[in-house]
Amino acid sequence: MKKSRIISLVLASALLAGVLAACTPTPPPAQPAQPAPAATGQAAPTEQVPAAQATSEAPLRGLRLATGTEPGAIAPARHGALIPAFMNELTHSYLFRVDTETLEPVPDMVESWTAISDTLFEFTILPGIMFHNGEEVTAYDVVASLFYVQNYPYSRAQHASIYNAEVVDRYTLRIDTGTPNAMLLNDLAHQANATMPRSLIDAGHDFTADPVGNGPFIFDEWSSGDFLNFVRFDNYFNQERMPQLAYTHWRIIPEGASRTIALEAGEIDFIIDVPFPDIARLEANPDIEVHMITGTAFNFLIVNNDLPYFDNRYVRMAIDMAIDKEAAVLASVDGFGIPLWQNTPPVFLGSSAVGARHFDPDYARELLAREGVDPANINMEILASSEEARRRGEVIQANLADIGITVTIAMVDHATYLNLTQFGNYEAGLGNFIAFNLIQFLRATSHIDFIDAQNRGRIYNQELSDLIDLAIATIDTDARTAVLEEASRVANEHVGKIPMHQAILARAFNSDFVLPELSAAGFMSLNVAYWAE
Amino acid sequence: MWKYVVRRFIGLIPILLGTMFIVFMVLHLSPSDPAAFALGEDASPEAIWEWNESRGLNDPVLIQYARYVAMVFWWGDFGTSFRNNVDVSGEIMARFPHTIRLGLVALSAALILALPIGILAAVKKNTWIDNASMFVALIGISIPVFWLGLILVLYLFWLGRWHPWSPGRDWPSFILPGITLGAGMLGAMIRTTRSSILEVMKQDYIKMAQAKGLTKSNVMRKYAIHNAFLPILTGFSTHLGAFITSIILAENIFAWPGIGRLMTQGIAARDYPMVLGCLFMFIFFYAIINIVVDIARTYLDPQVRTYYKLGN
Repeated sequence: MKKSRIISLVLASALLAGVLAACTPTPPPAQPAQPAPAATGQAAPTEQVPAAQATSEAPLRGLRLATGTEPGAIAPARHGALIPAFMNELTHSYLFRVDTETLEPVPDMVESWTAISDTLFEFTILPGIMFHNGEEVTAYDVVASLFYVQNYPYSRAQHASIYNAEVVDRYTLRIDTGTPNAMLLNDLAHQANATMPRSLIDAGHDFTADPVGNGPFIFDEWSSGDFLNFVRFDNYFNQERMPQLAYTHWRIIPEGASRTIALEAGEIDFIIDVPFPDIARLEANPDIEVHMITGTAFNFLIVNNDLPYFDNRYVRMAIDMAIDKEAAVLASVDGFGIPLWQNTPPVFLGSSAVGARHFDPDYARELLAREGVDPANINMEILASSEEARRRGEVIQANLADIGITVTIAMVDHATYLNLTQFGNYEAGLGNFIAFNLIQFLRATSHIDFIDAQNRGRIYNQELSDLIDLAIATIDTDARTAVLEEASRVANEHVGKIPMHQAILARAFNSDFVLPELSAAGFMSLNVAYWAE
Repeated sequence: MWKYVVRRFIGLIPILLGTMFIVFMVLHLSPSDPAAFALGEDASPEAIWEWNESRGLNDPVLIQYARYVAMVFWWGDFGTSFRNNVDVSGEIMARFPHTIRLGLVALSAALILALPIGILAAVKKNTWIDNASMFVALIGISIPVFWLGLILVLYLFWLGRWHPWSPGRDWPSFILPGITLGAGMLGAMIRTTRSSILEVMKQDYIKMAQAKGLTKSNVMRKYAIHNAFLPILTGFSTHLGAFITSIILAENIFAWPGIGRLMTQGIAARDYPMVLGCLFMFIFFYAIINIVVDIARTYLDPQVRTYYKLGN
């Protein structure tokens, strides 16, 4: 009996101890501190002091952001995802950067550049650009990095334009594209071709653990599953775009409603991915500003062009014309999208609506009848990998039922969706593609060479592929735009995939915060953002 | 007695091997390629093949399983994450204290509340106290964790602008995930406690004690609660499985940096080593707690104690 009492007492004590022990607070993360650059024996060209400190104003504030997705890796060229690409924009500067207004590349680290021939380009980088470890950026670092990143397959398309690179002198390098390639400058503005210190590359430095770069912020800390910190780099080379934030603190909050409430409660200052149902409420809040812009993410219904019926472009056209895109946008993203009838994202230069269609179920029926296709024989299983896609699929299901086509919806997780659609083991699927320019979009989603890769619709159109190749090889912007317009027309008439909507990007943040730049691709240039107070 | 304890711990090995085998097969039979996911949509078939080869994923699944088991049980190594190349053991150890803390808070609070409520409900059977207790229990059992978590987050903020949010760093941050996680266990344990007490109260020795003139509180304290403790303990170990499942959901809702969330991320990215490592921890701790409960039962139950004292 005594033993039992002792055990009961021990169990009760353990319960109480559990509560007390579990509630013991863990220390908060250390306030990010500016690390001192390593001594290299070479002084920085000028003494960089934060503007606010130089004028004896209040110390710079930091920014606390929330995102739903934790990156797998944040080393440049080691991922193909958007959130880590936003972080690369903090830690690295590239030879060129994408202008937020035009989405065209503009010089960043590059002081000047010339085209020696259609395939050979010479770039001179600015002197005095410093890496976070205190070393100066030279042409040797750039060339070493261009070769180094080719070891990683995550961004094969962005490496394809660089056939060879060589150092001319300390600040000058040449890049050979092999064949004429209009994508070179775009590729040099991509995180896949970021510059890292040659000394660290040679030493086998682990850039995934410590992504040393030359961007406006230094990587400080990553607490797995919780947060990432980046602190201001005082020796950032670009005075005009010097960061006005002491740090950026990225919190990982997977649940959308929790992110919204964290912003409303003032626990964070900025939401990257704003849940659409919350936008109206956030807009009504005077302490919060919601910034919206038409994004580059193109949402579509892919149909497997290899399969009977779907290999007939008139059947695909009938499917396209039978779908009420506006209803689909309303059902899936609460109306925060632009219904699309053309097969290229309208935000890009060279995109054209010529040959695009419109909502006309009667004509869709007529097309099927003209082709001798009995819609009752078409059974389409649509893969959906998110709730948003499922809702879109339900609208499609109802619309296609009106013209006699039977649709079923299969929910799969994203990894399964990617696997099934990549190799053509599916009938139809709801997906999207985020591109930075029209060539990238067309090449990935519609070129013959990308079947069994990102051309998930298995679109086989030689004329379209030739036009894409011609656009890549056309260096002159006006001539290239004309080629792309023609390619857009062919894509529209071929209807390889069924366009659904262009996404609208939303960023919500504290109304005292000023975000001067937000590109359609989602990049925020946080180094030029600041607190208004 | 020691024989029993050793036997139980040895019995843990086939349980771990069996469950890991099932999970391993399910992961490998799912129609997706971790290489394609890890390397991105641009990766060439050659790069995918090399990536799979370097991780032994081109080998037959049974060979992969044997290799994994040897690695885990011989070297104590859970491998390297497919997603971010970090050491799985290190990542799990970094996250596990967060899960343990949240689990302990929720579990302790649920048990501290459930036991007296359950006893009170049994004592005051068919009164409003009993009905109210059963209503609370029903709510706790019925409400899905993911729904309760979201509702708490939304309504507490809208009602009182109250939103404690620093997962694991201060005690208010434990409140909402603790309630969400503990609700199911609270409901289940109230019902178990009540029914166990009521069952014991029907026994002859209770009637005998009452006939002898012992007060109601004395009967309850000396005989009923003590004897009801065994089925309560058994009930607790039964409900533990659902509780552990709830941890995974609660961690995702409240951005709790524990291994439940780590596992979810691993599943989404087809990160086999991370998923298996996290599951191993869940299964291991579930089994360990069950063993501890069973050992406690043998101490508390005179019949079992005597059985083992006799050398069985």
